[in-house]
Amino acid sequence: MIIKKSRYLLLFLSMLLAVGMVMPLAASAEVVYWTNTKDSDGYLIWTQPAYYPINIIGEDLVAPDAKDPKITKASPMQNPKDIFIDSKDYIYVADTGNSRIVEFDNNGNWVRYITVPESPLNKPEGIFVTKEFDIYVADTGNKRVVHLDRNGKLIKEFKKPESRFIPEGFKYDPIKLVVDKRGFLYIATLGGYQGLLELDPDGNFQGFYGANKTVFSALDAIKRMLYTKEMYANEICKLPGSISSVAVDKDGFIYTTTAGQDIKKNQIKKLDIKGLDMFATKDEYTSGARAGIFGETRTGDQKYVAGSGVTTPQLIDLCVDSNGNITAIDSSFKYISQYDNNGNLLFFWAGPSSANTTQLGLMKNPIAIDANSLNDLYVLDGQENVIQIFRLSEFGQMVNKANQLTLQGRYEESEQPWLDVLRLNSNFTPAMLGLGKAAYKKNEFEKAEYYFEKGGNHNGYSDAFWQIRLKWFQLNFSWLASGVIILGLLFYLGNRISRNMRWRVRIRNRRRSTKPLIVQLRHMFYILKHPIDGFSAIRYEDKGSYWSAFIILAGAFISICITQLFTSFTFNSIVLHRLNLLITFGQFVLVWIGWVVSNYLVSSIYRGEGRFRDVFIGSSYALAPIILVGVPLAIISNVMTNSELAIYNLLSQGLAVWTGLLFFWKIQSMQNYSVGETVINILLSLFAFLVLLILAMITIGLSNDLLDFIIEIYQEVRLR
Amino acid sequence: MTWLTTWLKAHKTRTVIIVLLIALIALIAANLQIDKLETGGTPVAEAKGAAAPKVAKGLDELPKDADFKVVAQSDTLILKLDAKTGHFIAEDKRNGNVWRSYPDPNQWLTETQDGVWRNHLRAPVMLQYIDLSGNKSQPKETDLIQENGAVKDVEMIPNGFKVTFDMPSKEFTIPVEVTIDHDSVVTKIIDSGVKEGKLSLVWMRVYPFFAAEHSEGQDGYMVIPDGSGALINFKNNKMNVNRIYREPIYGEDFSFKINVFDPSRHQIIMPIFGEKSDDKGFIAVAETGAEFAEIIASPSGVYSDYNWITAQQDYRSSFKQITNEHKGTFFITYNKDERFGSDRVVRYILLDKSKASYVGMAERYRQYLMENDGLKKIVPKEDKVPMTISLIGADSEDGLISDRYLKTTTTSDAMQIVQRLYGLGVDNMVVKVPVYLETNYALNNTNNDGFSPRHTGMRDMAGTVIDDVVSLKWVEHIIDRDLKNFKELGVDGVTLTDLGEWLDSDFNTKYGSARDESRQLQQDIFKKFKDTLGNVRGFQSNFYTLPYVNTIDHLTGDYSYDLFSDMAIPFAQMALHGLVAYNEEYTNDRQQYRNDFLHAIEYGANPGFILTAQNSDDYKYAHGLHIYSSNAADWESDIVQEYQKFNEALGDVQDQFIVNHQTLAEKVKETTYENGKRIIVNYGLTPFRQGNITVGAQDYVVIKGGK
Repeated sequence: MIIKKSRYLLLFLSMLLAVGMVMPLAASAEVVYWTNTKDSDGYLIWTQPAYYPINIIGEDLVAPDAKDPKITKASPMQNPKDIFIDSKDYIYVADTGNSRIVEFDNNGNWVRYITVPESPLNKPEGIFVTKEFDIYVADTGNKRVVHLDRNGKLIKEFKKPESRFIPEGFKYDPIKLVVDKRGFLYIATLGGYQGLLELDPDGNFQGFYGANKTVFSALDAIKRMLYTKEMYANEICKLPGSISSVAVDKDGFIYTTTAGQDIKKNQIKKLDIKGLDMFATKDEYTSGARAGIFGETRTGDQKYVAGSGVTTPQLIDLCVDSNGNITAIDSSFKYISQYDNNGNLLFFWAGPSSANTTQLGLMKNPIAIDANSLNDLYVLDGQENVIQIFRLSEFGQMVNKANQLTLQGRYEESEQPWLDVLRLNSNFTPAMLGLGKAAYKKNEFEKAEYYFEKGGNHNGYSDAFWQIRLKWFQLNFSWLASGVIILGLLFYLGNRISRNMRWRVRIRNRRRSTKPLIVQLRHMFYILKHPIDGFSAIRYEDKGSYWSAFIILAGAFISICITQLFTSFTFNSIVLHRLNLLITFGQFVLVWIGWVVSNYLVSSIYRGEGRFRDVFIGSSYALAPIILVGVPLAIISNVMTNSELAIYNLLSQGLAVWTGLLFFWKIQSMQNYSVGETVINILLSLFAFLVLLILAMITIGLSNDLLDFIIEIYQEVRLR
Repeated sequence: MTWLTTWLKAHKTRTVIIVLLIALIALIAANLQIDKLETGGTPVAEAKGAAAPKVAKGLDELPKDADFKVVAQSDTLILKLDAKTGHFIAEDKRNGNVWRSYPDPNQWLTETQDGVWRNHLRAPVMLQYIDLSGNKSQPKETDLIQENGAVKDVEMIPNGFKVTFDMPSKEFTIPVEVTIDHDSVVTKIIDSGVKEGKLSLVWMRVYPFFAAEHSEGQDGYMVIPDGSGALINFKNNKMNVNRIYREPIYGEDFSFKINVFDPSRHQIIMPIFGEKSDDKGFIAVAETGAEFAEIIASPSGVYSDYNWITAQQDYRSSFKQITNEHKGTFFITYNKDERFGSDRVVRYILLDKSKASYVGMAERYRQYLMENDGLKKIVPKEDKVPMTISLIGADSEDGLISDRYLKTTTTSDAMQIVQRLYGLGVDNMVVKVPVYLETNYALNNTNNDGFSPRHTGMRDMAGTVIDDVVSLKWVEHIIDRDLKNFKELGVDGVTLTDLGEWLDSDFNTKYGSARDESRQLQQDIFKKFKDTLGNVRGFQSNFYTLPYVNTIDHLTGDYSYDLFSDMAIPFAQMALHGLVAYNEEYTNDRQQYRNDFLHAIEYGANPGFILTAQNSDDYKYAHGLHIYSSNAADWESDIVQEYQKFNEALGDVQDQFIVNHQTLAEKVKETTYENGKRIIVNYGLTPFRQGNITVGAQDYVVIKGGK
């Protein structure tokens, strides 16, 4: 059956892993790995391979034997750390373990070893070759950078520069470097959190460039607030992540990668002249939490490492090819992720090879990457000590061609290439976004709106809708305007004329229902107008009942569902395919019960006068704005665009403030508190809620283990 | 909230550590006592391990030609035995080729391997064992010579001999029969005679260095059944990383699965291996007990300078013993009480000089399949290749409250698609509608038909229920019922998926079956369908289904890209073409559209598409479907085009064997059929010229026979 498609089973991977076994699968044809991309919500899309492995080089190096130079001996690379491809497509590898640079020609044939005999290299970890074929080596073991001519002769060495601007504790262990057109050096140093060390061609210190920001979490903020100076000083020093690698593109922009367990964002940076990250605001389309995150994984990939919890992708090197695409390698999941020059994800692929096989296309420890002029990718495997070469596939080429046109703003021309891509892969998100832009450019706004929505670009959708709305107004303004005026007149006149007619009087003086439930529900409106009176009425005059509370609660829940489901795509950040109303319901009920219980408990010991019943009913009535404002807001959001964002925000925040105030007044009036007491009560209730939650989690956690234990004992006894 | 979880975790860890410590102390205490008892009582088996007799380095290490006595003759072979060492020589009367069950003595003097492996090279049988009485022992390898074992009970039987390899030091007894049958040498481990003592057998390799050769610049390679077949050339390995090929026949057994899954490997679908060295060549077929065998190919430079290839006979497999309800904790162990049963038979078919190539091997294997499995030539309906159109009926996705049903192709949609294609000229179509026609009996995730994973589902070695996988013995009665329905519906064929592809031991107490029994059960099911409906298709099926299927869908045409493999070959296709039809990947789900089209033409595969009536982006979130693009309307013109191209190239050779396959230049391959038709495929980016034939870049030419 179709379901047997190998890829299908990956979805079941997590499930199967839980069972402790996994189905045997067939390999995908031609390439031994899967290729994916993600849509703007991070949903995994399967694609044809973007690159396919074509060859391996560096596996059969030989060198003359040290004792007897006539004999050649196998001389594999040892722990190589960096790879660089020059403008002739010659390949240089920093063969760290052997303290040499290995050079291959454009076909991968060995050319020479560079060891600089007049001043031998010691564990070099970085290599860069200029357009003029000057060679720069980050000679890590000697704590220097050396500049060699094309024959490998030493021209200059760059020791640690003298400058009062360099902090005293600064360790100068150069690991990676680039040289710009002016001959300025940008050196990444081991653990150097100050950024790249910038030197002029004479070796004078120019400054630090492109430093990362310190990651500062909420927990840190709390610590800073609560801890004494001494305690805070004892904390592990919070330092910005250090730059793991650096690359330069053909326009001279410098790119860096940052690795480290704490680094969850901005792992790739494109630096402008001031050293600021141009990707900080990257990503026209990845939404919210996913913006600025580089390094991709698949669902179910999470790796646990004892002691440090879940592993995150660690981007340790990157390259920029002639298309401007950025390709980065991840040392923890062994994936290769490729982004276009705006930082939008195109593809990610490859993955780890199993311990006892070596296969074309899979890597044990990818450590460095570079691209040649044909855009072939050369990935250095630091464990197998070989270089794997990947070439753009048919599909990869198609995507690149289309994306280049989009990036250059030639949207109309990009339309057909994108359609071709989409025909081969109907869920390829970048294609939809490209088509959206093309359609927008061609004033086909309905089509643009369709593609932007499919592609998950909220802003694009809003812009397209703005145009559609404008067009609609232009078309229909005349009759719309006259319609409004006529209707207004009619209403005004009708109202005046019929004011004293009998049916109006009858309506005005109709008998209001005296059914208690109706009366109670009607009380909701009274509360909105006179909250303090209204809530005391619930407390002292029994104006509400459990029944009415339940009805309002149900109404509030339904309103929440409506908001989530029917708010315009422009404003709706809910990912609809992940929405499960049962889960929403569960959360709603839990939060509600938790709040009511903790609020009641706190009130009852804190001089409150309200009964449980009052807290319950009152809290329900306080949710009224969600029904009365939320639903209409969701509906009118469908005729709004980002230009009305301010109005939308005003209304939705107003809704929240109003509800909050109602809760405040509810507590104040029901429990008969002063304003100060109410504030304290609310804080205490929230605290109690938190404690309740912790207790619940501990109980569940412990009883789970206990339950397992009992079940196992039972089975043991039964089965023996 | 995170700090809470962290705290909990930390706390949990501490508790666990304490509990573990206590357990450890208890365990040590218990073990100490046992150890004391044991050292006082029975001697440990290790203690009386015997040392290999010392033989000076040189030709004396190998059997001498003079010691061999003729024991049997067939029309083509003479079998000679050296009763002292248990080794044999087979001489080919046709051409004088000499085949030895031990490494080539001409190369022995330059062999540099020392130590234990030197003994392994000389021994007729090599094995791995484990001491399962303790809980911390590791499997160890040894051989007959290493253990100073004896060759006992040499006995002549019709067409051959029988010997028993006895290793008293490890208490293993292994009776082996070697016979000749026309052009084949057949080795057989007689299971009933295999004896173990305290130690447990893990695997055995009998005559592993049969025809082993150094790489001396000769034209030689090993043929491994990796995917559709691959070659490992004889070469001098200078690689940093030396690895051997080792894969279980018919894929890994689910019930003994330990590693997290690896999607990158192709499973072995055909139980064969082969070797060629200049004009010597053999093709070997693992027969009885193939379900428990693995193919090992070790290139020169890994365990010695010899290239050797053999079938390793497994007797135990490690498995994960789960130790708690959540299946989170486990240890890896072997089954002490039971080993895999069944005799182990391997047939080495020795080839004549002119046939010593992978083409010759495939040809001989084809003949073997026709003789043994009764395969017959296809009788094509017409001169047109069948175009397989698979239609996806439906799937589901996460819904707001429960899963939502996604209808992708209704019956009337299907009718429409088929009619349109017919109207466009695709007149030979096989239409598959999965809901009715493609049948999966191996999986059941709906708990229909009274299926309950707990009671009638497959269980692995540790007793864990494997979700949704059905016990084969239980499923039989459902098949009987369904067959009746199918007949009434007028269904004229089915595709059986998973069955025939996955082969597992089942440890369900009531419906369980060993792996070889599972194979038999699967064959019975295939046979039942064939007998009732007449038309059965397999899906990525193993070759034991061949007698029952007339088409294999998704027959692999690729290998696993191991660095030691030098070239992928269409071995399976060469053996099957003309006997069983096959498809490759669905055309619209190809990895590289043009490249894979050329590949299908080279490999002689039929075209196939997988389609839906709906646009495929409508089921982006579907649970099962991940077809890149399947909208029928998008593919119509391609279907017609491919149909025409395949017809032109392959229409008239559907019943023709592939008689030659060769590489003309880098990235240029040629396939030749019985009737003389040649197809040259050029994958390269530059045109290829040969005489007056020009093949454009990324193109192919068809040359009719006789031209």
